[in-house]
Parts: sequence; structure tokens; C-alpha cells
Amino acid sequence: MARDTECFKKRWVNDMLVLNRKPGESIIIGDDIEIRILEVTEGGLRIGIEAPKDRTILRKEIYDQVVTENRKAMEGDNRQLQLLKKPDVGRE
Amino acid sequence: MKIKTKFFGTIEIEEGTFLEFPWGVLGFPESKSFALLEMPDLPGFQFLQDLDNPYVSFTMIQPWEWFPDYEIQISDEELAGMGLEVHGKDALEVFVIVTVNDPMKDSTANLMAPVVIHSKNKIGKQFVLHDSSYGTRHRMFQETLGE
Repeated sequence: MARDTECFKKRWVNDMLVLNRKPGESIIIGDDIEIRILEVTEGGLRIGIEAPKDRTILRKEIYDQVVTENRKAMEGDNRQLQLLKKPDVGRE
Repeated sequence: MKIKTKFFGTIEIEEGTFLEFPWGVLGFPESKSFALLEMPDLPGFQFLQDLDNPYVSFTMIQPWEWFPDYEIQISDEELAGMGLEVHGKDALEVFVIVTVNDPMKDSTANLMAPVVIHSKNKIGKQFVLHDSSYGTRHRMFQETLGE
């Protein structure tokens, strides 16, 4: 019995909600996002996500990479930009 | 309407050309309205200027002019979910964001995260081709240029 109630425990750790789930079980976020634990493999797990198609879903390291590059692009060098006036340089 | 721009001062542009990015640009969730600027003396480059924050501007190129083999795959379903579905002669324009570096020859293009614009609906979104082999920093110029 003690083990069963473990699954219903819900606690916050550093503003992060921590839940216990088993393969095949899901988590719902709002009314329209479902995250299901599909399979626990050695050293990892597979999850399935059902969400409205207008939501961007990315592995976090990919997201971080794009955000980093967007910020860098946004801080583009003003002086160098003037050199763009010769766009044929280096083109084949 | 007059708008303030990052690189070109205050300029006059037609309101009908404004673009909505309902999901912002990744890392810039507040940036939802843009103007797509082209400068006669900078042919081949587009500037995605945030209308609410003059400091935010992205320099873009049309990827196939620089990377002829570039491939982009986005499902119809995904496009529809974004309000970018194409009917008849509607067209999608694809751009990639450039990181202008010093020296200029080290500038790179972000082929992993193209900006797709629905010309008729005036809606844009930055997609992430996370299953592709593209990265965020593809050199635009040959490494030996100018050396």
C-alpha cells in the first residue's frame, strides 16, 4: 500500500513540480498537453507528447542553441554590416 | 507609418506590409510585430525589424542564394497549425538569420532555424529543423577569403 501511494505524491523542489510516473502513465499540462512516459530504457527514457500543433516542442539543448544564436545575431556588428554593401565578395 | 529602426534611423513604411510573429522569435517572446526591410544599397539582405523595440533587428538572407543545396521540410500539418497553410497561389518565403561577425568573412547563417513568412497572411514563424543535419553557424564566406 505504501508503494501505491508513492505514485500520487506531488511535491515542489526549487519551483519544479516533481511527480512519480510509470511507463504508460501520463501527465497533463493545462487542458491540451499530454506527456506520456512510453518506455524506460537503459540510461534513458522515451516520452511521447501530444500538444496543439502551434506549440514549439524542442529538446532543450537545441532550444538553447537557437536562442544563443538569435541573441548573437541580434547583437550583430554595426560596422561590419556596412561591409554587406559588397555582397558579391566571396560569392562563387 | 514612421518606424524606428536599429540600423537605418526612422523610416516610413506602409502599414499593410507589417508582419505578425504570434510566437515571437525564439529567445525574444515579446517580439511579435515586425517590418521586413530591404535596402537598395544592400541587395540580397533583408532586415527583420521589431516594430516595438528598435534595438531588435535580425539580418536575413534567402538561403538558396548562398546555400543552393539547402533543404527544408515542414509538414503541411505543422504549417496549418501555425496559420501558414498554403492555398492556391499563396506563397511561403523562407529566410535564414545571419550572424554578422567581425571580420565580416566569419559571418554565419543559421540554417537550423529558418524564418518562414506567409506572404498573404503576413504571419511569420521561426522553425527549428531539429531532425536535420544543419547547425546554427554555417559560414557564408570561404575561410581563406582575404588572407
